Amino acid sequence: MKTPKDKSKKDLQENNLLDESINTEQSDTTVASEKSTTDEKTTVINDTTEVAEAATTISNTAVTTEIALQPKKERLLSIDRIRGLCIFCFVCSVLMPLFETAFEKLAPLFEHAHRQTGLGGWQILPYVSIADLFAPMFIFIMGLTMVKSFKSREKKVGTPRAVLQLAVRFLGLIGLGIMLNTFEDLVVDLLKKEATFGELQFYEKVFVTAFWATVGFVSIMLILTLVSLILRYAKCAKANNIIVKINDVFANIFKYVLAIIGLLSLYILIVGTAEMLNTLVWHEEEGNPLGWQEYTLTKFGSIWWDTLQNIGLAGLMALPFVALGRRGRLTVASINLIVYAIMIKYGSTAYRAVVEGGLIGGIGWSSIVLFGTVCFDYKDEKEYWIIPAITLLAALFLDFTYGVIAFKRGCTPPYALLCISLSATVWGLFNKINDWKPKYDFLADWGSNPILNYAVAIFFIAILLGGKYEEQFAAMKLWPALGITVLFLGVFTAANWLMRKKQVYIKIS
Amino acid sequence: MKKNIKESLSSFFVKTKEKIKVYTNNYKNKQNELSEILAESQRIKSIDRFRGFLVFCMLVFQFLNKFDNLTFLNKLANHYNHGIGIEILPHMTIADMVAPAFIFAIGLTFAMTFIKRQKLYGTKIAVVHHLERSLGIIGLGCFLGLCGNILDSFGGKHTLNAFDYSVLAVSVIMLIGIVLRLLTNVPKLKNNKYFPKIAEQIFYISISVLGIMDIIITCIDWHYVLTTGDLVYRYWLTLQDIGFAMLIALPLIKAGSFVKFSVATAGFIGYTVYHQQPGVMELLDIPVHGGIIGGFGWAMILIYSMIFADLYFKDKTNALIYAGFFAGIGILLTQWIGVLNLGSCSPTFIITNVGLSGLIFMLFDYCDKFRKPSFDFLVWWGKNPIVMFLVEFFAIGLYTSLVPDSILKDAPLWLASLEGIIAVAILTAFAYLLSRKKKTIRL
Repeated sequence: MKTPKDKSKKDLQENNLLDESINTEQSDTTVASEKSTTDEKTTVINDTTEVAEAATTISNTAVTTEIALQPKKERLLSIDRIRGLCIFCFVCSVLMPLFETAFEKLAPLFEHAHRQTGLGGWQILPYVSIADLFAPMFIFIMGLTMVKSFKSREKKVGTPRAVLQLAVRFLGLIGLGIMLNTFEDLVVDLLKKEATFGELQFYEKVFVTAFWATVGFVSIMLILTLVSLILRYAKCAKANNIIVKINDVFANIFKYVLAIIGLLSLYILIVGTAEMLNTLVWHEEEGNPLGWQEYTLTKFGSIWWDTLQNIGLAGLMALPFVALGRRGRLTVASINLIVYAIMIKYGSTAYRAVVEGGLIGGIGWSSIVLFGTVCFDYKDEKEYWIIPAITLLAALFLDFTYGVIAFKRGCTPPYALLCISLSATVWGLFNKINDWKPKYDFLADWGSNPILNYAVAIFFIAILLGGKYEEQFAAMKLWPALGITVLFLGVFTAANWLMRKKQVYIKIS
Repeated sequence: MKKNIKESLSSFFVKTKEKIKVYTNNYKNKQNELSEILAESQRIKSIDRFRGFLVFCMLVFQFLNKFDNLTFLNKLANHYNHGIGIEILPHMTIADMVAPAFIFAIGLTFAMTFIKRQKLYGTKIAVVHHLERSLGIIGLGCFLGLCGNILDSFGGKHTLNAFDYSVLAVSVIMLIGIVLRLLTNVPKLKNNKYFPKIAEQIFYISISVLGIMDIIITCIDWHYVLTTGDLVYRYWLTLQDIGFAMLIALPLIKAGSFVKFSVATAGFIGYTVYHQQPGVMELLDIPVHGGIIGGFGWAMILIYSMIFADLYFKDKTNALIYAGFFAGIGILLTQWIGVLNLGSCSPTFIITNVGLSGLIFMLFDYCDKFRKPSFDFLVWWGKNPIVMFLVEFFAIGLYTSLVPDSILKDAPLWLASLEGIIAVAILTAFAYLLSRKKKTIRL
């Protein structure tokens, strides 16, 4: 068995799509001795001390558990904690609204502002509800870790490859989002026999095929991981090594498959946006202060876009500026928002037509990423708190004085600035207690596996349970609903705690 | 015996030498302290410029507001409830920001001037001085109100009542005090042991009495507002707001920032709860700036600005952050605890203007780095705000009340601009003269 010192340093590479933070304050990747020397290694571990066995990599909904060879820097707990807060709120927002009767009074807390009318939910600003504020926090968190991750990659593999790796990651996120949408919108109907494969449009067929390929890949990788675990405990190192290598190959192929799907989705978005801009007509409507838009999409019929795609696009659009200094990034983000604000002020309503604003909304979302990178650079300086103060003020002036509405759909500049302010404030406060390391860290546990929590919440709770037992949950009384909620959250908490204890981190690699 | 005399003489000399040494050291220390204090106040030109800018806005734009043909400049001086002003936030125009910013400027140096005086003359004298100053400003406002009522009575718009006559009587004493103080410049009287002090006390006591009378009558007026919905005496304007705010903030002048913040926030919460009662905001809109009740709101602005000053003198970055958050939170709160309203000194108006004033001041402070102008006209304006205010009230007030409409309201653009330029030039020259002669006239 090779010792850690024999390992090539080239193996250090991470492929977190969402979880860049893990590698910023800690050593990036350290690879166990038996790992291959390929460049496509993903290992991020919190604190490892032992040097012993080969790691097992399970990609995709992959569990990467590797043992560090080098002393690791500790994670920046503030990033884990803020991520944990977001994910916890997200899971609650998916679970609790299922119980319509039981949690009726809490419903406005989880209600997003209506995508057309802008009404609904407990509004912190006109057309912005409290529930609208948590998703951008994820994007902000992505920004926190992006620059350092890019720079560490750049040192190891050079700038072009570093850019390619991050681009593949963000495209993979888009691809993953499309897969979830495909399941929700197409596969379920196909399984219920409400539609047939032949009736689908060409690109829908591609997505459905890709979905089943994804399921296949994930299944194979899960099986291989299981086998690897067994071999590991049986101390068959050689066989385990082979299995791990095969798993790596599948993981890498899967990563690029997702990226290609993401690219296709991006193409559909661009085409759809162009058609929309060309045919958009805005209508006034009584009781709807924002009016509604009508447009025609002939090429692909619809624009497939949702939260994960949005996160991926935000990363992609911020990527060209990652190499700039903090003032450069701040300037770019500010100019983006100013230009966007002027466009909206003088008549553009296109941002409202697509979920999260689509390509146009990407301007706002990428600005949040860039501000996140700037906030990370300032985190230890006293000037840090100027950012949330001034962005809050700017958001309010744009909304109340300049007349540009804050709206999640489209990520308008006041909305983006408000989210930046809130996220920066929350993270700044978490930063203040970074040195506080309790035995049991609830938020850090929840923040250690965001992708898994997100996927389970969407897939299992929202789609399966919500789809199958929708009526039963909606009619349930308070105590049973509370019991089920506590049970679910308890299971999530226990699972997160266990995974963090065992240093199991599920990422897309 | 000779030996004893020698010994006692030598010990006497030694003791005297020591005493002289101690006295000299004390004097040097005091001079050093004073120098430090003076050095501190001399360095903060940005505060002077900020104050000067506000005085300039208050006076000049009020004058330019008389000329309808100056359109844009005419609008600048309009408050939200007076017509079309330049609205920078919902229900708040640029003109609405000037008075709270002025109180903010006072807060920047409020504690500093007290400490200066305390170090020089002791705590008792410093407290008495500041008390007299606060009441004096209210008294001055009362006196100006009387002048306005007398002028209106000549025009038939007002009938002098019992209170007007009482104020007149005390004002006469105050004016006698002023005359006596001016007479102290006569060498014979200047050197008199008692005359200057008596003259000073006559003036300060009489103007303080005017201040107390004003507070009492305004309380009575608030009672009339609550019972009949209208004012009777109308003796409350901007100067009274300033003086009353200083009076309320006085006990906290040497308190720590945390104590000030706690007291101000507790007061703010109480004020907000009261302000939010149904119909109260409309009642508070009746007297100018909320009357005596609104005065508590103005006091909150002063106390919060004192906290800003504490932060500013320790670390400017923290002060900037404090101002930014205050402004943001104030504007955000308009959705839940009411609009920005100068007329009633609404809670959101208080918080927002503390923040905005702080930010504008920090801008002045930042610009201080780049320019050290020889033509520092804002500093000249800022050195004698009381005098400039009185000049504006009497000189320009008289001018605008005597000239016909064709020269004022209906004046063509060229004439209005010319009058504006001349007024600004004369006032600036006057301010410059006072500054050059190092004359600072304060209460």
